[in-house]
Amino acid sequence: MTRFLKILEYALSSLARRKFKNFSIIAIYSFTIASLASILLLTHSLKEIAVNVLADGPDIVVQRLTGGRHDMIPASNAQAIEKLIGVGRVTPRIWGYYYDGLYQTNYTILGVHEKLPPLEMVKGRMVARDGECTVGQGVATTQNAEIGNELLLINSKGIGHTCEITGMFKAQSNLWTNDLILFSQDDLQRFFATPDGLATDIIVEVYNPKEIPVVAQKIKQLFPDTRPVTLNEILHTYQSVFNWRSGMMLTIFASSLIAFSILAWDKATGISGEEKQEIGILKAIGWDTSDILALKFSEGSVISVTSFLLGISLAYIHVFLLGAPLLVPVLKGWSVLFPRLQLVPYVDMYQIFTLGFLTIIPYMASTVLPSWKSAITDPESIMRGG
Amino acid sequence: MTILNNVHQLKQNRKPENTIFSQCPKTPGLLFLSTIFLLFLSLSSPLAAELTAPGPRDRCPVCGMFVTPYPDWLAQIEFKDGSRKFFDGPKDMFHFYLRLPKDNAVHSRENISDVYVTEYYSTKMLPADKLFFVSGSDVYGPMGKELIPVHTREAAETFKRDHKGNALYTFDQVTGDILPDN
Repeated sequence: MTRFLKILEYALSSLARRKFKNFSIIAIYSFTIASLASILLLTHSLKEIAVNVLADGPDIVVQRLTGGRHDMIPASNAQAIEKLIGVGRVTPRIWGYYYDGLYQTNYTILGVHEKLPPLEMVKGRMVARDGECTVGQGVATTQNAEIGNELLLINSKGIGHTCEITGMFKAQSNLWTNDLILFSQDDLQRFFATPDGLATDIIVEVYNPKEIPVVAQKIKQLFPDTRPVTLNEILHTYQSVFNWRSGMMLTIFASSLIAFSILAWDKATGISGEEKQEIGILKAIGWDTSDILALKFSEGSVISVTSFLLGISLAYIHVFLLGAPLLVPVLKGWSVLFPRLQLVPYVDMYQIFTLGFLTIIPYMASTVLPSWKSAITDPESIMRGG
Repeated sequence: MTILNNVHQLKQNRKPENTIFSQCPKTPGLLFLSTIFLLFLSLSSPLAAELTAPGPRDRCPVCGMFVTPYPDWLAQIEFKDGSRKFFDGPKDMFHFYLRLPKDNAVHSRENISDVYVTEYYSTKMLPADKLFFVSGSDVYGPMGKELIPVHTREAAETFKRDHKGNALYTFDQVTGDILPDN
């Protein structure tokens, strides 16, 4: 043990002797790790947020299509769907998007209905009657609004519609509640000038997840002009969107990884004459080959573990404390007018280990192998510069 | 597929119906009293099931698998002495039930107070004698082919049509011969 500690001490002092070289390796090494880990952390966090949002989401969303485009659906379809076996509650929804020109943000406006997922209120209460609204924290922040204030929105006829803010719900971890405004169903119908008896879509609750595809198929048979979208389909879309985006980013950063590998290879394997001489002297004064390998191994691990931890910490700070300012525009992709999204720190240990394995092991190998080659050659020929 | 499973797991956990399991009393004395109480309750309202949830270490006595990972397939036999057996599907429950007087020294069929299985469409625990069992369907349980419990004959006929089942049975009609092998 003391022998290993002595070797480690020597390794540290030997690293300190070549400060500039080692610091530049650590800097580039940790920068590479930080950029790769940022992408992995951000994508994983977004996926987890999506999963959390969708767990509260409807099992099936039924939309009506006219000419392949989304159209308003008769709310009376809900009664026929409710009669299908295995179906729980069926609710017609009215919702839509609204662009606020004053604050240059997009909102989602939804009519309050019975199957609304549980919303955690920060303060105030939910909409109880016409002329009231409840907003997500993101909306409240952009509007600088407080409970009791009036929210002014321009309706489809170009006339201002005011409603009193009765409460705010939490935005954290919920992509869709951040920019959400809740109206009463009747209010929203008037606001969007939706004809009576029509809804934007119908959400269907199915008790047994195994039965969702069968129910979706039956709805399609019942109403051939509709498109039932199941939870799994939405999930697949989310997954492929995030996978595609993160894949694209990773491809770009793969070039930086290759550049790093070349640098690491060059710095670490291009063992200088001076270093060769050092190995020769160590051998001449009685060090074993195994001692020299232990020395080089400690040097390599000190550098790579330091850079790895530094890189991961930088990525964590970048993604979760600063909100990934360098990656968000590319990865999140949807409307940049979207109110700010607070990322929730979900870390996948599997990804961290993979990243560690893919960077630490090759670096160690590229430092230990050439030293081993020098260490097994005759010290005399090394010191003579052979 | 793991993400899909995660979502369904989360959904299951957030469903209000499942919370009845968390309300079960913890002490054995209370458990006994509540069992007696439930016995009376079950006489008056046959479909009102207030059941004890299996613990994480409860295994199916037929196949030996843990039962908690399969909430949609849970079946249970409750005995008059308050003890209960959990199963990971109606098939294993029937295997146990049909062999009862022969294989089991402690329990007999007369000792059984209630048999519950998880109904397919509602994913709720219902008394087995109120349900129809569909064989030969394309829906597989944790132990492979299953007898799928469905409430009401109409729903069972629909299930049989939708999932390519071949026959309907009531609880009393199920025999060892019709139980699927795997």
